[in-house]
Amino acid sequence: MFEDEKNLEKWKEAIEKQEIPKAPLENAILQGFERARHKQAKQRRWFRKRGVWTVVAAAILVFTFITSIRVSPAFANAIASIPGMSAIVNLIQDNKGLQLAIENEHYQAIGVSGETDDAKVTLEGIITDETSLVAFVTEENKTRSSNRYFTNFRILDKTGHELSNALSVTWNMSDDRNSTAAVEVDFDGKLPEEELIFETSISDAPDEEGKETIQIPFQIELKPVKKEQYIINETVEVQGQKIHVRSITIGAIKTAIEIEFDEGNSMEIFGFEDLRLEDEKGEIWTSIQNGVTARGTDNPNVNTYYLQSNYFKESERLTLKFNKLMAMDREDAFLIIDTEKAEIIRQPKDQRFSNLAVYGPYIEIELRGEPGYHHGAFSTIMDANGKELHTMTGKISIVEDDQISLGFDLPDEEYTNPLRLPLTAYPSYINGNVSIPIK
Amino acid sequence: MTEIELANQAIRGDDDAFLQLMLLHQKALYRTALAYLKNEEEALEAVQEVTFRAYEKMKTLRMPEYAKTWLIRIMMNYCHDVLQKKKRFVVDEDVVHVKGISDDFTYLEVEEALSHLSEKDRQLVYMKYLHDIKIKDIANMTSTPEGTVKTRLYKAIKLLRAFFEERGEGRRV
Repeated sequence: MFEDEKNLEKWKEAIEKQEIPKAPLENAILQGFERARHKQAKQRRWFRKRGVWTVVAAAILVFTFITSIRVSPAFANAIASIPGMSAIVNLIQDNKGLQLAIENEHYQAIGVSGETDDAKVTLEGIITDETSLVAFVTEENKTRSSNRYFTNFRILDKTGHELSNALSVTWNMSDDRNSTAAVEVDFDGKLPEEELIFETSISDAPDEEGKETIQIPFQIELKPVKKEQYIINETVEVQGQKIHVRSITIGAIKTAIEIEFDEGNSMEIFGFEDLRLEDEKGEIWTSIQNGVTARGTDNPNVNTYYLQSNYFKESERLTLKFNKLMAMDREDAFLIIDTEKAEIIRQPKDQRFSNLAVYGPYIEIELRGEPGYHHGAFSTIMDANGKELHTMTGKISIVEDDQISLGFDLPDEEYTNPLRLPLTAYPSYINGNVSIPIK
Repeated sequence: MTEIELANQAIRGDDDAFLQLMLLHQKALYRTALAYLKNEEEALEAVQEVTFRAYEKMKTLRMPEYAKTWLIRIMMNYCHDVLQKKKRFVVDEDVVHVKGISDDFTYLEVEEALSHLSEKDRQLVYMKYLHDIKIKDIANMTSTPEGTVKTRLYKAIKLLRAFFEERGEGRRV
């Protein structure tokens, strides 16, 4: 044995004698790291808790990755002359309403930048509504290696007093260093006319407080626009579930539809799959792809759903339509897990949840949907004593075509197993044929 | 930060910690790749690929204290795959040996002997003799009883010895 080990010792020495190509080796690691990070960023959608979660998430931060840009010739013409537009066009390529606003010159180019040692942010321009605005921003990470996240977008007045913070932020990563964002901001009441400050914080992680802020002064110069409101108050039924359509408000940025699900419904309705407005020519305005798609209200049965705006499109008739809703039996609409035993205690009958894994405070569970099903499944967590646990981050990653993995962090506090997670989405649907004329 | 703390941070998704961890073990990874692939360029490519894979798998690492062993195992598995694929294309196996690490006779002899071991045994020898990983740690990391690891290692060494002896006799003639 001794002789053999000596041979192995020599063998080892021969390997260790080899010179290490220091720079190329470090470079290989950095490249592998960047590749992996880039891939994960593509798969991950971070969402972040802000205020109180309702049945439908109140504020969602969405990463979008768009490889090709498709726009209409009319829109391409309209934007050709607007400075800074080429960078942000990818943010609105799926939103006819915002495109229409730009085509109709309801877009204010700003093009003012602010920067720190690490990052540069440019407020490219804005689109306004009666009480809200969308700010288009380009962001540059000036550091070589680490991530920079642009968070906490706010609008301040000249004295630094906060007027409003972002309702939603949609990001698009152009490459490793550059990203663009559409930041939607709601104001209480009318848009401020005075000089304003657009502010963002720069942090190392998406859920961290920013270390530095960038402030960009601007003033809203667009002509005020007035919303069109239609009171509907009609009740329709889909597979025995009553749905009350209350009102439709068409603004320059989006169309809001207020809907109440009947208290007595046997099913929990999570949302609409194909809610849409159709005009007399058969042109269709669908839900918003990136950004806030719905919002809860104080009444858990009442939600506001958003569609792309047709504000700038003349139409004689408009019809609200939908066929498919995401819904499941109320008594089945929750998940119970035990984080200590890493076990699923109870789940819906069709057993789509599997592989619960507990990594310290980080929990992951897989969900089988259909290909392309990328919904989160829960937003509130209750412990055995009914205490609500607040999670700061959630993650959706794609495991396989029809399998997603949902991850979240449990807060650093005591809790009692098992945990109950009411579902906020699940691949279960009901179908009908609803058509409500509104104009 | 200790190595374990670093690994723990990396498991939790801290990118900086992950990078530091990779840089800490870069030499061990490169040497493993070089020993397998015998080519600087391919070894560097392997390091890149393993960094990529490790990042993706990081949160599945259950035992942060064995991060280095874990990384080396990912590397060995990757290299093994590369060599398997190569086998299908390279007809003349000697080509692989032409660009060896060293002309040292013992080195070449050990290499040749190692190539006759099963991949599992070869990995054991690498962990124990190239990276000086303790048998106890190998056992823990691979969820194998310590005795089994010892036995397998002993058998692998015996096979190597048989090979050396055969060679030795050949030379004497």
